[in-house]
Amino acid sequence: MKPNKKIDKKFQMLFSEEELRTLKDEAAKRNISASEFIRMCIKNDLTEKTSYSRILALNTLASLNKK
Amino acid sequence: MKKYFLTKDILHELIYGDKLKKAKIVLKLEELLKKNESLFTSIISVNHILEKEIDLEKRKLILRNINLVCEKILSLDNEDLPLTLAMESEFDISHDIAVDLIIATKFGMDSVLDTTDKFRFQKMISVVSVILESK
Repeated sequence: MKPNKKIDKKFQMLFSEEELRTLKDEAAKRNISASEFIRMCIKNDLTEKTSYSRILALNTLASLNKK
Repeated sequence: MKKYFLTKDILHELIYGDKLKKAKIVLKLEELLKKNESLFTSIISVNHILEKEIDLEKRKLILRNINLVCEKILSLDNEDLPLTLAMESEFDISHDIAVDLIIATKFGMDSVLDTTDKFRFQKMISVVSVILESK
């Protein structure tokens, strides 16, 4: 999701107490809102490159020419 | 989420540097990727890396993985050239440094990530130097 993408669709969902606490804690750790954190998770896991695949690619580059 | 611009020097050290230098760069970039920060580089830097490789398969592998690590590979337009040349002569810097700086500022990078302090002369953008030599 690009920062300038229009965000105007509303969606409600139910969470368990534990899920909601985890969501808020993880968002707070990143200094972003819970909504922004959910958008980030969707972006990472479904629509774009994941952190895991990027880190894997980084390590592949570093291991190409071993001295 | 911040935007970091990777210079050709940092890419070069990541791929061709010695073990210790690679490890320091990987550590720094992993830290940024885990925080979901966005990394960018320029087509000029990528070209500089690819020119060094003779093996076609290795070139493809490098390109594919740089493309994965970075959110986008950026480039300049023809209309950016006069400003780049002006900066080059005004600040008495190399063409490569001027190009990196123009690209980084044009695309709103928060920081330039480099292995040297060659960008320290300017006050336009923050610079994060990954120190590779132990002192």
